[in-house]
Parts: sequence; structure tokens; C-alpha cells
Amino acid sequence: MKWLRFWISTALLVIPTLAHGGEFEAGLQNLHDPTTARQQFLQAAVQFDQQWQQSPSVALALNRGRAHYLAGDLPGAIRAFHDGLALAPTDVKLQQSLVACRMVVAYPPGLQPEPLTGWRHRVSPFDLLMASLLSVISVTVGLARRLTVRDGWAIPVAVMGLVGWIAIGTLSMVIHQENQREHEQPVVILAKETVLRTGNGATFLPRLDTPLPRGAEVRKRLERGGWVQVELVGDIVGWVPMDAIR
Amino acid sequence: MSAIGRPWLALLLLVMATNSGIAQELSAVERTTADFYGAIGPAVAATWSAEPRTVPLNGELTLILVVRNAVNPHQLTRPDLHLLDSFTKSFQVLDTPPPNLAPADAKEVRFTYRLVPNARGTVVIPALAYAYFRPELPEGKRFKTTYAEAISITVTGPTLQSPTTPVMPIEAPESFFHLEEIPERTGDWPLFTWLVPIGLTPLFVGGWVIGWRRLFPDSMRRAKLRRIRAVRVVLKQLKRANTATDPAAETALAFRRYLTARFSMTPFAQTPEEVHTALMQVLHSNADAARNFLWQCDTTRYSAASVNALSLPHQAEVLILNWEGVRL
Repeated sequence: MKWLRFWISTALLVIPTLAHGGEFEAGLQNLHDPTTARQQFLQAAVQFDQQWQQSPSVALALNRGRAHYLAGDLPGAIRAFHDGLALAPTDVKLQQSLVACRMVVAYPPGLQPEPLTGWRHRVSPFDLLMASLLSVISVTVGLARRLTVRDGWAIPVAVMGLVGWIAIGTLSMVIHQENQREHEQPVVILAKETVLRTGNGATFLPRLDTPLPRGAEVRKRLERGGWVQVELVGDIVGWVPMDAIR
Repeated sequence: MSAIGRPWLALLLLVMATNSGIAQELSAVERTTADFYGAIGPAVAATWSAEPRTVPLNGELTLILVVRNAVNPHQLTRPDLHLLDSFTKSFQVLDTPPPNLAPADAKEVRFTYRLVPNARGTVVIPALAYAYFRPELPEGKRFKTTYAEAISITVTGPTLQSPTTPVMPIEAPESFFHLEEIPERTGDWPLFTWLVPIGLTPLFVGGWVIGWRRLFPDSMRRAKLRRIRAVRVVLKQLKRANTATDPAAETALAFRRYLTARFSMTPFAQTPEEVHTALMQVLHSNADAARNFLWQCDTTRYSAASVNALSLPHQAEVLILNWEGVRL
């Protein structure tokens, strides 16, 4: 009974991930015919997208991004990897995949997006939990020994644990602020080459000498009249049409 | 009768528009008239032309606005469909490069747009109101409006076409050619999960202390004693006495200090008899034991016989702990 339950739960986890692997595998078989392969990768990508709406997971984000990329939909791939990183910011595979996509985008000099070096991408809640457990052990042993046999080392050990708590708390607040920023100014992807304008209309002057490339990542600030105000690195702010982002 | 029927009138208007610069002479208020895009003429006409008429949901169609009979084709501005809700509700209006200026003698002007429909089914490209200026009419009646008639298109389901479908080999990092098959976590834990064990710390400490007290009741008593300054001090001094040059003297000194601090014995009581007398007033039951112990210290100090002075600190400690109620 126990084994049956185990296999059912494993299947429930695996099946959604592989549900649309057929088209993907077919695409891999047809790599010698890029046009057909891209069609099949795109079909897989569309189905992974639908699956994502129902049960997002890290594995699904990776598959979704890979399918979009192989289908030639670079903005879709970047979007998928970003969606995955919103779930698990420290996932190394997602980070590496996003970096690989970024290398393909022809950014104008100085406009490359921020590297994934924030604390939210380096320290996971699990890491914080482990550090917290170590600190708890330190504080517990220190305080308990102080209250019982009054060892000389008890107080320093307890203080060490307390310092650990303070460090963990500070780090958590920094990560929380980074998460807040992600929530308030989410990254959006340009679906096509787009001119960044100084106002919310096609009649406004371009903000930069060159248009932003397809697949460029920008931060969304606000929307107005079918246009979106976005921010680039270096606090460059401009407007792009709503239909140019995803 | 229209100016089209009177070639001389049309010619006259053309000459007026081009030579005398009627467009430039329009007042600022007139230029901002609703739906006016700069056209001047006696019978300006506007029509839509869409290609293709059947388009997939994620496909793109080309829409052309054709303006005819304007006497100033080189001065016309292109209507901005981004600003018209009737268009942005049903279509995504894609960016197109600014149109080239039409020649001054062009018979018609074409403005091209790229649209992507937002919904499937029969979709209507809305009519466009197009105002134009007739300078020959009396003031106040010079603006007339014509319409580019609405046309319908059919939007089918999306085609699975990649945005970029160049026939080029598919290149990607090696890992992109594999599917993730291992079931993985759905995401990170909540950020502040680390607070849970911290919240439990008082329970851990409390449990430890309670368990320790149950397991070692005398140790608890001893620990309590250590919180009494006099006991703590004497136990430290007795420890030091073990390594002193004269352990018996150090032990006796520590013992007397303890009695003074703990039982308010007069500090002037130095000999065993004086200590006994002083203690009889405050600690009747233990006065004899204290005197005997101090005698033992003195005997050890001044005796010629070889007596192990190092046992005295331990004896003192046992005596004190007994008095303090610790069973050894």
C-alpha cells in the first residue's frame, strides 16, 4: 500500500512535467529540418505555457523556456526563465539558462540588464533556515548551560547565536526588499525591436539613439493609454507600446 | 455642384493651396479641429484598404488609408491609430516607420498601418472620421467631414508560426536540448521560515533546564549555591588553595571568610575557639564542626608529622556543601 502511494505521488509529479514532452522530443528528432523542428518546439512551448498556468514548477519553467528558445521565440524563453526565477530565485539551472539567453540579445553598449547577483539569487530561504537552526542550537546550548551548570563558555556561545540571528534577520530584510522591488517593478521582455520614446505616444522623440533589441529586459513602472513606462539600467526611463512587451 | 464638376474651380483651389499657402494660413484653433489631418480640397475622400482580409489571431494585417482629392497631398499628416480607442480595443497597432512625404501633385496619399487583431471571429475595422477644409465656403462652414467606411475581416485561430522562422540550423546551449524529467520542487520556501525555530528556542531551553533538574536534582542545588556570592567565592578560593604554597592556611582563611560572609560571624574571630564562640551565637548546630576543622588546619600547618594538606580544601568544600543542604 505504501509503495502504491509512493508511485502514484511520483507519477503525479512527473506526468505534468512530461505531458507535452512528445512534441519536444519530436522536435529533437527533426533537428535536421529546422522549420519542422521549430514548429514542433513551438507547439510544445504553447502547451507548456498552458500547463504553467495550472501548476507552475521549476522543472516546467526550464522546459518551457527551452521549448520557446528552440522554437526561435527568444523573448518567450526569457519570459519563461524569469517566471521560473520568480518561483525559485536561487535555482542555478534557471539562472544559467537566462544568462545564456541574454548573451544572444544584441543590447546596445551599456544597456545590459543587471546581473543576477542580488542576495535573492544567492541565498535561499532554505539556507536561511539552516543558518537559523545552527544559531538556535548555539543559543539553546549557551543559555541552557548558563542556567544549569554555569559553564564559562556558555554566554559567549549564546551571544554567538544571537549575532547569527541578527545577521540572518538583516539578510532576510535585504532579500525581502529585493523581492518587493521585483513585485512593484516586474521585468518585462520586449517582444520585438522597439524604439524607447520620451513619452507615451509614437510622436514623442526617441529616448536612445538605437532601438531596444528584441528580447531586451526592462522594468515596468506604470501604464498609460496603451503605453508602458519602463526603466533600464542606469535609471534610463522611457515609454514603449503595450503591445511590444510580454 | 462640387468642385470636381468644375475643373476651373479645382484648379483655382489647387493654385490657392499651393501658391498662397492656405494650410499655413489656418489658425491654430482651426488646425486642432477634431479629425482634421490637414487635408484641403473641395471633395476629399478617404477609404480603407486591408490586406489580407482573413488573418490568424497572432497574424498581422496591413491596413492602408487612401486619401484622394486633397489639393495639398504633401501637407497631410497620418492619423495616429494608437490614439483611437475604437482601434486599440480590437487591435494591437504596431509601430511603422514614418511615411514619406507625398509629392505636391500626387492624386492620392496612402498611409500604411500594421495591425494584429485581439480576438477571433469577424472583426470590424472601424470607420474613420476624416475632416477636410474647404476655403471657398463661408467662414464657419469650411470644415466638412468624410468617412473611411468600416470594413470587416475574418480572424481565424492562431497559427503555430514562430516569430522568427529563418531556415537556419537550431543553435542553443547543450542543456536546452533536454527535458527536465526529474520531479523538482515547485519553488522556494517562504522567506521567513527561519523564524520558526527561533520561536521554539524558549521551549528548547526550558525543556533542557527542566530535564536537567529532574535528572540531577543535587546539581541543581549546587548550581543555586553558585548563585550565592559567599559560596561561589569560597569554592573558588578552595580551588586555588590546592595549588597554594600553604594549602592549610589558605583553606582556613577561605573558610573563615565564608563564615563571616554567610553567617555574619565577626571578622575578628581568628582562632578555632574564637570562631566557635562567635558561631554559637548564630549557627549553634555547626559551631563544633567548624572549630574541629580549623583545629585540623592548624594541626596540619604546625605539625612536624607529614599530613596531606591537600585534602583540606576538599574537606572544607564537603563541609560547606553539607551545611548548604547538598547531599554528596
